[in-house]
Amino acid sequence: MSRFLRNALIVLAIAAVTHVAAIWFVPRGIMSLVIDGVVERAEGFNRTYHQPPIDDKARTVVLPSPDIRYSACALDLAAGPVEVKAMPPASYFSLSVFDAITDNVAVISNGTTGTGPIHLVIAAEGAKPALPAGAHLVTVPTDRGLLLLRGLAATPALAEATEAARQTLVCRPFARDSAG
Amino acid sequence: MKRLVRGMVVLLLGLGLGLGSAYGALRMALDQTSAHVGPWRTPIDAGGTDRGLYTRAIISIGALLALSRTETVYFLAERDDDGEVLRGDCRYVLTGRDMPARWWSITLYADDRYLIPNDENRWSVNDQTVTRAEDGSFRVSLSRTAVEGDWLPTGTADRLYLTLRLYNPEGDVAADPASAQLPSIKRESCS
Repeated sequence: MSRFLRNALIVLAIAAVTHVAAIWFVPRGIMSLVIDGVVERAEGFNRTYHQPPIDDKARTVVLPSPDIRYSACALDLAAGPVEVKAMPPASYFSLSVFDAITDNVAVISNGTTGTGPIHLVIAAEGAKPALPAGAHLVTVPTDRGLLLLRGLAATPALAEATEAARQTLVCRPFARDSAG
Repeated sequence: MKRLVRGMVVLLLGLGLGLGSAYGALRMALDQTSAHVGPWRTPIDAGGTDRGLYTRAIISIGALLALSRTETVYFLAERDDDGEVLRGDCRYVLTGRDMPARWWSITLYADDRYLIPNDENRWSVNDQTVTRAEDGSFRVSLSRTAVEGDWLPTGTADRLYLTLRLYNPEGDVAADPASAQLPSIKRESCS
């Protein structure tokens, strides 16, 4: 085999590995940065963070919607399930769960639950916590993830209702005895 | 020494080819896994769990934390009806009607995918705020200078990027996004 051919094959091999590694790493790396950012602002995992109303200074995540109020909770499921509760307003309100590779593993909105409380127990795959009445189980294939609250804030009146609703968001380690 | 330099060249060529081909593959993946409606396109499943490696990577770069399409369908536009790139120094008119969803919005971004600073703090129109004509249609202008009616300022942005969100899509839109009736984007003039 000529030296040129051998070098060309090495270049192609490095390129193939780099190509796959880059595609594989991008979502994990970006999500890790986002989760770390929420942890910093919330001062820990499994704690709520209410993002200020969206304007042109919002530069944490691309394509932020100025018509939505966002709250978040960085999830760490390694030590056990996490409990999430919120009381939605009449307007659009959703809780979505993302795993550490950006997949939207679950979303629940008041379009399906109405104006009653939303109660989630989020656990690592394989965990089978005893659920309180009315709670939904969400399993996540990675130990870390992100809970994202979206509430419609398209007008001042809607923003006011959503602001009050997102203040009801609870995100904390799940303790079956105190879950009620 | 000569062998070391040759090794470095081979390594750099391999890394460059790998990263370049990854970038090209991501651009191709976005086109091939999208449904098109006029100038708008939507990744077939922006937020789901059964996405391919490439779709997941491109969405994490361009639309991180997108929801699954049964919850929200996202349409993106970076070109007008004639296929020309949306420019900040041009004036455009979007014309359309209410779209089938619990609520919808159209948001204007700069090419970096963030909101454009402007004195009016106007970044979007939505089904709560848009002005409708008697026949139910709406008309939204994009331009640097103020326009009567619904107007989204393009500020000092060089290129523009539009996102249309359909939250809790109704009818066939979630199953068949290409069936949606979406606003046209017509260029009126450029400075």
